[in-house]
Amino acid sequence: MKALFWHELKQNRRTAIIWIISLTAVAVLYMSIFPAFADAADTVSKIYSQLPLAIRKAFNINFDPKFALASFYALTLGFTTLAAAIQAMNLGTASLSKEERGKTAEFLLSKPIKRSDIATAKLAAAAFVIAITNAVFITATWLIMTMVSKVSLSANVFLLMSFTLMFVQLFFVALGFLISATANKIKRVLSVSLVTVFSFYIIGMFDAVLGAKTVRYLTPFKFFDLIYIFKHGAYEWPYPAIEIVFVIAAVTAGYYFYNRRDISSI
Amino acid sequence: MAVIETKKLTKYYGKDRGIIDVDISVDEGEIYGFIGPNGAGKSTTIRILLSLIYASSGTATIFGKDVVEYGPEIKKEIGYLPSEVFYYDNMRVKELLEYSASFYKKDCSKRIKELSEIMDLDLGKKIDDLSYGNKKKVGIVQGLIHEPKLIILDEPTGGLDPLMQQKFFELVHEENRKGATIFLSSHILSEVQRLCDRVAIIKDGKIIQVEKMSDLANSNYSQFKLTTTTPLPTGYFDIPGISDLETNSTHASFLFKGNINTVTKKLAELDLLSLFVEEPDLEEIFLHYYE
Repeated sequence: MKALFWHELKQNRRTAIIWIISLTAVAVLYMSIFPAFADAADTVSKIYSQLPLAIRKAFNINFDPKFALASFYALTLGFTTLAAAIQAMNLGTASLSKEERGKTAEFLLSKPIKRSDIATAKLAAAAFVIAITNAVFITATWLIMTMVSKVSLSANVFLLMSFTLMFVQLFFVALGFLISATANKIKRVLSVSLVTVFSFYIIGMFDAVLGAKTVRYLTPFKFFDLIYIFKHGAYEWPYPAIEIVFVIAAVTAGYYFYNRRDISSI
Repeated sequence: MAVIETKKLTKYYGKDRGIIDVDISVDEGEIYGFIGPNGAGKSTTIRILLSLIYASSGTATIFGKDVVEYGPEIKKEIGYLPSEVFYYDNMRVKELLEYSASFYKKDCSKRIKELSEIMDLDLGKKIDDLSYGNKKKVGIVQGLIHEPKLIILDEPTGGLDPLMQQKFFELVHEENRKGATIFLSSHILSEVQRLCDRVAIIKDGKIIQVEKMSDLANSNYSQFKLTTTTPLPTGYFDIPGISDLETNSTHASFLFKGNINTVTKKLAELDLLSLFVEEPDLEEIFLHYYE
């Protein structure tokens, strides 16, 4: 099982590195334009502060520099999370299915190893890649943030905000794993990932039709309200619970089906 | 004790037939052939034995243990060579063999060296750069590194040149001498003829015959081919024991099983131009079964 885990990491190495570098680079680049944004906000807030109190009350705009930083980081997380979701979905969907697609399943499954152990090793490898991705991403964004901003977010708020990316990723790894364990032959992992991830993303845009509350239960992209996290320094109940229940259910179901399924032949 | 035993083993893929009521019993130390045309169910049977797929009904045991329940345990002692070999393209041969060995709790490094020398395999090459025949060699080595007690070969010689086939057969024989049981599927008769002690013939998912190789070869069939000067009377060879009869005016060929004198008497009455009486090769006997 250990050998399989390392083998899996080795196989994933190149793709993982490319994803990690790209995700981090995009976030860092985007955060690096924050000073320009902060300056503009500064100017606006100076003008704003000269307005009569009654008008200021009516607008109720928050010009707290920390809030500006949090909103900007939330924006950055918004689109990096979408990309990170694709990375995670790829990892999950490829995990088991690539043995069949590469026609190596006959090799692997004729070895003295339980199917559940294969699944565990592959899940562990995917989780490891996710962990590394987030460690690099969080470190890099924290560093760039301290460089570009005079104020800084509290570590607690910053981490709570940043971990939402990982939670969304875990959701999609679990979903991808389930698909990988059940579908008989997945021809192209990327197409499956893109369709799935964008479907969930688009569901998130239908809050006007489906109702804002309903949508929040349906898509991981809406589980975490970053501004809420900034304001309260905590996650919003019950969404983390939904996430955890989903991940456990999907992984369990994945094991169940993979153990019972015929491995498609060449 | 039977090394492989299946009872009424049946597999349907949805509505499609895989195999139906397959009963085979392979004894310890024998080389058992499993022969049939493409699509007859050979690979299906093997895939069930390896629990790659699950039977619809019936049971299969290896070393007396159920193949599904004790799958991982049984596989410690199985070496398997699939009919088409595919490996991780970006790995080197050595890496793949070591990866393969890592699943068995044994030190296989000596065997890797030994076997790759016999099979003339370059350990440093990338899998991706290997020819089909060379990939097959990797498959053979990979299947034998842990000195399995049961070796399952699915159409093993495709892609190997005659010299390599020879080496491969020697290797299989050697493993057999050391006590390994061999289960070999093939649609090439000469292969089976050369290696096997017993053979099961499968057709349309059903076992139609299990015979000892020696019985098959000495089955008293004779192949007659003859040419006459005058056209043969119609129905001239309508006698019991004759099969696969083909005639066209002055030519006739047929298989015969029985008392040979009944044929020679008939032949004596003809004005023959040529006559060949041969032992039929297995191909002809099998074609007989297939029909």
